[in-house]
Amino acid sequence: MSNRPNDMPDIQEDEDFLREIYRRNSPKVRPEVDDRILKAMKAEQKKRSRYPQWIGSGLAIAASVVVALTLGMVFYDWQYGQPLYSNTDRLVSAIPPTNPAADRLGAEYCLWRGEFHTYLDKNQNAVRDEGEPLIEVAGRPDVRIAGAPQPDTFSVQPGPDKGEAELRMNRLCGQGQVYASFRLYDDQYRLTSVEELQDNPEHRFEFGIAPLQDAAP
Amino acid sequence: MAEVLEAVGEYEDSELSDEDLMLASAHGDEGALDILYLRHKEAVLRFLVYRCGSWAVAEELLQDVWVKLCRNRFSYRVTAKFTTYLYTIVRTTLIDFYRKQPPFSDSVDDLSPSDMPRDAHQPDTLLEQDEQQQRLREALNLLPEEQRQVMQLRLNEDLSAEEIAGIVGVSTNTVKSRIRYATAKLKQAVTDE
Repeated sequence: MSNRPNDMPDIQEDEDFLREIYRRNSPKVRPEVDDRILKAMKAEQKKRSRYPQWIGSGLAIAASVVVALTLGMVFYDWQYGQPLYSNTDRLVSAIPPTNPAADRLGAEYCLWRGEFHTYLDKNQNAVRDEGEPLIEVAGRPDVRIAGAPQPDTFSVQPGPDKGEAELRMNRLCGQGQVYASFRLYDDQYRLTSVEELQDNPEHRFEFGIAPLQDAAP
Repeated sequence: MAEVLEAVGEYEDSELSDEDLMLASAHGDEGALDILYLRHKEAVLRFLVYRCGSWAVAEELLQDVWVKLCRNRFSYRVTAKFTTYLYTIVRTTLIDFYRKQPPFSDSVDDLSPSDMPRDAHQPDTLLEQDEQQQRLREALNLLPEEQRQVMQLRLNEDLSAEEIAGIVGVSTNTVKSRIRYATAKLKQAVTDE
């Protein structure tokens, strides 16, 4: 008799009759086939990890994140939120932003403003005016210099060496062209002085730099 | 591998259910699947032999079935009897096989009962049994595919109509209807002289 659930009792007798014939002389698995299948199963069990597949995906994602962070630490300037080795952008960003929360940046920003309070009068003479900034940096309205042209009147160009930059501007106070340049090496330095060069028809301004740790607060 | 079989043999009478063994295999018990194999290999082979009509093909498919089961052991959930899960894999393996190539043989005629390994007891009734079995095979082969599939699952394993419905993807009432038709036809074929 069958052990099956008796869900069709009306034909159970016929089913049992057929089942007995059906299962007669049941085929036997040959030993060599047993051997082959068990080996295949063992190989499969060794091949397959017991951990779910998402573990592998998770590890791959984690590895990608580590690689991305490593590359970011090497090639990205987290302080200013932009890639490194972009001199032009670096120049602009190296000009300290107005960030009251950052004491260091704030001090540097103030120093910048204090050292560069110079403008040209009608006779092309440099006039220091402690009260006003002289240059306005494109895209950085928080860094301005009195009498400066509009932001689109000067350009920022990469300097010849890494970490250097040159800032040019045309027309200052409506008094002809002025060529102002300065160098920013990196964030470890600050501006300490402004040297004014009369180089008609352009005026060159050079800025001194010093290690930041030596800067006066 | 003989030692594996020997070692497994010690556990063949394990009181663990098929479902427990399947779960154990997912948790790293490498012997659990071996026990399951030893428990079900003959029935699965019988099913495959009846289905594909070729001894060699049935053995190949038997291996495919168990490797697939091994591969899917992590996703196994106890939602039904293990045999339901097992024969779902058997069915998909057969479908894959027939998709890849035309059926090796659409009939089971090429499989003589005398080709099949068997227990050699009761030799005096063997001839009569073989004749009955041959008629049953031929009758099974003449059934519509959907009836043959359902009837084989019914005869091969002690599966309820509901469990068969879960495997073939039709309603329980449809399965019962197919079983009734098939049973009547098969009985007539086997008993008619």
